[in-house]
Amino acid sequence: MKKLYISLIALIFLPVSLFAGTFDLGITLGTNAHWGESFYDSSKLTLAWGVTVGISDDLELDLQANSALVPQFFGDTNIAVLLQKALLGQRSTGTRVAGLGVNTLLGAGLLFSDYFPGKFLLPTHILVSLTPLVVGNPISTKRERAFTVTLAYNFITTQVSVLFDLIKYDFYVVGTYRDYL
Amino acid sequence: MKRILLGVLLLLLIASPLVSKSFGYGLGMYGQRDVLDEEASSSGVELSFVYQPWLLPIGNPSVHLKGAVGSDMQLSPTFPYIELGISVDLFRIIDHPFNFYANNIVAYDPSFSLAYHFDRESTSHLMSVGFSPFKFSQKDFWYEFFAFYVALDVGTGKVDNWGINLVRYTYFFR
Repeated sequence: MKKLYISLIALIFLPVSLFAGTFDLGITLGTNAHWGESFYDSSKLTLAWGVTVGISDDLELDLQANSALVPQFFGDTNIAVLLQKALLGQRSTGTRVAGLGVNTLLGAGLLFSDYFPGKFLLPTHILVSLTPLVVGNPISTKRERAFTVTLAYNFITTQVSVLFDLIKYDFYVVGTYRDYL
Repeated sequence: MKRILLGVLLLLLIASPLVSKSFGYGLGMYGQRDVLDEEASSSGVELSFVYQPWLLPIGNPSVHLKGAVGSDMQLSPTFPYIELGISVDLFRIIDHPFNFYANNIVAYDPSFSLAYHFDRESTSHLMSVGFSPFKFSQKDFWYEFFAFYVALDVGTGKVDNWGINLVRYTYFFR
């Protein structure tokens, strides 16, 4: 039994070393639109908000809630969880040097929504996401992500839809140049 | 002679806004909720033109013309409104808590607006009252977030529709 516990603890902590080097945390605000599932999603204008967590110099985990503002003010919310990789180079250097100012993100993840015959949140979609333009980085405290296109496959209803984020702003509170002075 | 000189100076002063960067155009992402008919609610792109003759630190006025194009709840194309009105910046300050937003120094100048709101599907005269709580400006740009308005029926005083511009970027080109 003791061996099992030790093995489990080792399994939990060993992969952490894969993400060693940098860590940053930012608050995300932006826009979102969802096309292709109007039967379940009646939102017309959606606010994207959440956090972006840097787990290595080129990997990040994005937790993004998309809340409808129109027609119902905060009437419907879904949550996207995406693991993203920076394609053009380091997203953060982990030093006081700002590093790359322009990047591209490619990611995959899950969407938690009520877009199925039910009224509660479930993992419903597999997401594949491309953000062609990322300007800024955690070290410089701000980042803008533009024109994000995400393909969403609803594995409950077998429907395919598209998520589009015109622009998102990331405001970093941890892992900026201030933490490396 | 003195009068002529004074007259010329006065004319130059009046005409000076015409040669400064006073004209701008903007693009925004709007959503509109039709209170009486939810199916007519829509979202899309808002195009705006702005004339800002002065740059006063308090109560700076500007004139705007806005038009929206988008899709309604049935995803049919729609042109929900055209607006003509004035906006007044409450104040313009450089030292504000939102400087983390931009790399350059930006002024914070929240604004109120009042406009005639033309909705081709409504027979009523509508007046729009708006507030842009997160409006930032530089020499050539305005950046606005969460600007919202309420359009009231002038005859009945009831709310006809309301809307939000999640983002709006205005570029002053002349």
